[in-house]
Amino acid sequence: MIDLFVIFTRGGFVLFYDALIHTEGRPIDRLIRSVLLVDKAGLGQLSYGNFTVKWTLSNQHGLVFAVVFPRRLPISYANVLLEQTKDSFCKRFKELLQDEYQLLTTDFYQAFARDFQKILRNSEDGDLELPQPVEEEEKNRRGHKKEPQNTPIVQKQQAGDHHTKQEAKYQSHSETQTQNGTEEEDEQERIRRNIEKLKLKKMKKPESKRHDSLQTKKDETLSTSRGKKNTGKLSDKLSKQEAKALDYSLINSNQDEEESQVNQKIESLRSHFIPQVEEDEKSNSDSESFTEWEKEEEEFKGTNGTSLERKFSGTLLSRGVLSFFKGLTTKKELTKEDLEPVLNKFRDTLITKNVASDIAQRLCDSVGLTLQGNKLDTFGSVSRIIRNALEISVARMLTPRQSDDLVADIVNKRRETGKPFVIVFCGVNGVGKSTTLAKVCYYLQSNDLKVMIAACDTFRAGAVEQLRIHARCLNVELFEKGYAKDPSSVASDAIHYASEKNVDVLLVDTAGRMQDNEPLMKALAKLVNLNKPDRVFFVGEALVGNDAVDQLLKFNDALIDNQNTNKPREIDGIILTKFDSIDDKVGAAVSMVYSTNIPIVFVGVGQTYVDLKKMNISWFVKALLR
Amino acid sequence: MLLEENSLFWKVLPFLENKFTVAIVSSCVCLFLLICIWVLYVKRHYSPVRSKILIVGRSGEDEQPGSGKSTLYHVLRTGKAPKFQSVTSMVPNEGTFIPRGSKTLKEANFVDFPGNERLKTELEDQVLHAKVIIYVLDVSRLETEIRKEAISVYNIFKLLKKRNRKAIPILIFCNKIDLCESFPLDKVRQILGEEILKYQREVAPSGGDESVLATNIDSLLACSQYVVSFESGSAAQGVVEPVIHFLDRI
Repeated sequence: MIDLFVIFTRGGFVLFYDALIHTEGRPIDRLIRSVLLVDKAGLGQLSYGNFTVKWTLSNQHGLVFAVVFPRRLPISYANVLLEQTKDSFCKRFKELLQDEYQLLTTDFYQAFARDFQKILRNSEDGDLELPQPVEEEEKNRRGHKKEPQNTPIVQKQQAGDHHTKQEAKYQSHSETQTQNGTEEEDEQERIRRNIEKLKLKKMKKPESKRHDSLQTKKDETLSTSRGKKNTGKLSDKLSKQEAKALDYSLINSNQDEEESQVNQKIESLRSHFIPQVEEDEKSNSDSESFTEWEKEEEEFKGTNGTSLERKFSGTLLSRGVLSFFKGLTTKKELTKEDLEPVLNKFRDTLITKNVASDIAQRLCDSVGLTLQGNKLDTFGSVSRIIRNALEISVARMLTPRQSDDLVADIVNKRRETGKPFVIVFCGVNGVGKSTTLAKVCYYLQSNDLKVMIAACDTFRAGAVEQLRIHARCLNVELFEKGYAKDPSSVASDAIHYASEKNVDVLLVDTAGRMQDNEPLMKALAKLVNLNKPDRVFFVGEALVGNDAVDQLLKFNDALIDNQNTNKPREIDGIILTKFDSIDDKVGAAVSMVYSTNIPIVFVGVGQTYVDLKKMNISWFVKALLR
Repeated sequence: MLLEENSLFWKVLPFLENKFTVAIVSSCVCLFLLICIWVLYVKRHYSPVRSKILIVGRSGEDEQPGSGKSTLYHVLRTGKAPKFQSVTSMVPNEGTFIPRGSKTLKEANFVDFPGNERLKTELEDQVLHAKVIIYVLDVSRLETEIRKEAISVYNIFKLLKKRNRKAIPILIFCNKIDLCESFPLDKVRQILGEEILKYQREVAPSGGDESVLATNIDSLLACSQYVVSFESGSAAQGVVEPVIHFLDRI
């Protein structure tokens, strides 16, 4: 038994809505937001709460057909029902679906309810086969969709019988009309009249569909963005003096005498990690720390906003000519066969860019699914269409759902509760958690926030010392309790201490751990569970390929599994480090975001404190598909 | 009198006897005609680029419905509310038409842009090319969602601040007025304005100087780049006359 059957346009208008019982929680909206908008249409079905949603797309008309049924009572005929309805609906209202005004004004429910009930009853009985295309020509034109696996086997004769029955039904509306009630008759009559009218109109003016302006504009913005800039330098040869400063055995032996000397060394270290320019302009607190990328972005936006129009009128000439001819020629429909070889090529490109292989496959599958049945211009190429679709879907995927202004959130929390804002950094060994923590600390400091660091890595030798160096360089307080203590108790002590000292932000450094290390993951979950941090950031390397997804998912799952609360904390954001060392192999970010929907907050692009940037999505997309 | 001995016409005529020149001339004429047709085509299809009337607003979240952008578009297009509640849009709805219920308005290009944050980059582009912006605000949930609404309005203001063209009108359409107690427009203006001012102070440190748009509500809502006005109505009930009046005025 199904709960709900909906037919809606990609623009959001519901054409047909048949609810057999009331469904809680707007499952269709959930389907759109978590599946269709992020290009996961290849998934096949979505389970959520008590419901399972299945869907099929009709890209030719921009329609989505969705069926909702109880999770515990899965129905086997969902695919048959969807395909049947799609076929019948599209065939019957073919003309109406092409005109926007008719699409909005026609009462499809009135006109289609009876047919739908029939299809539903038939498919429930299980005696309905997928409709055979009436003519071979028709099949080629419509780009027939994949067959559902669970089609009931029907005897040949029966099928043939049914086939003719169906044909008869579609061909003669008038017969069925006589059986219907008067109201429906009116509606049918009206629809037929509309179809006639449309046909007439069409004869008068040949199709000259307006080119999708949004699409073309998108092309233009992408083409205006610049290439990759070379990132920070890797000049960190330690001088002898610096090496000495790092040698803690020396300092500890005669600390008192060498205190001043150490300070001097720290000074030299500081000058090494914080570029001189920054030091001078530190008073100029704000955006200077976010130099390169922001500036580039600004430039990019500048071209976007002001001179885009000029460019637009410049290219108008060429584009106008082209689209004029485009309007004259016929359009070809994209079929699965057309798309497949090109999609495979794109998938390989994605994999060479370090995207995890199954993610690349899924991404390409759903792009293919959304493109099937679209019209292809004579002058357009398949690969360009796929590239555009991929660019758009990757850009959408990487755009965070909420505005992620960390500083605004911190200021807000401070004002409301007066407690310090706690950020926990976790990740695999050696990805640069402590360095990233120092960078974030510098970033927050330059926004006039009082920061404190808590050393909760009580596991690895030298971890506290490493943080102490950073803390001295940055002039922030370090909270430490030495080694072999329980990290979660150290963190809670640090939070108490921080609230006493009226600190704005507390950054908690944790020990690096492999995602498979059960006891350590439990310890992390305990830390998060006890201290209730405001943000949990996962620090990951941009260098990883297939492992990226595994790391992030296991961290997230471990956090959820090991917390005994109803609303477990999950990872809030990703910080990608070593982004300067990967050139254009940016795939790890795609893998991570696609599999978890967690936004990328920062990327680390160098060795100094200022090398922490926000993600430039347009550059990223370009690098990925180059 | 019209055709004198040495007029241009008589000079040109002998050339036309040559077949080659005739061919060239006729092809020139053909080309000219083609260009004319093309110019007309381009004019029809590309001139409305800067005359878009953009309908924006926030998308629904989890269990909540959206602010009613698509519904407003539907009412303007067809004159009546949709039969079923619309769902989250994935692509913009776009159409060139005269809004229903208006006698004086000319044909205009309406764009109903989805509110989902994932389309933010595309939205920025649209905002920069809009002639009029209609921001749909869900009044029935204004008090609980005020911060999110403020952030979203603030982002539009900030985008518009960057461009230096003549002021564009923004209408903040207080939708779903039928679902809540009477909500005076002055009050909406007051609390929305205050929230935006509050928010811009918070982002000021990280966003740089240009993130501060104004210091008081009046200068925030009316400046050289845009002028904001407020109207209320209910798209789901078909009450959109205020929007049409607003479009009439400008």
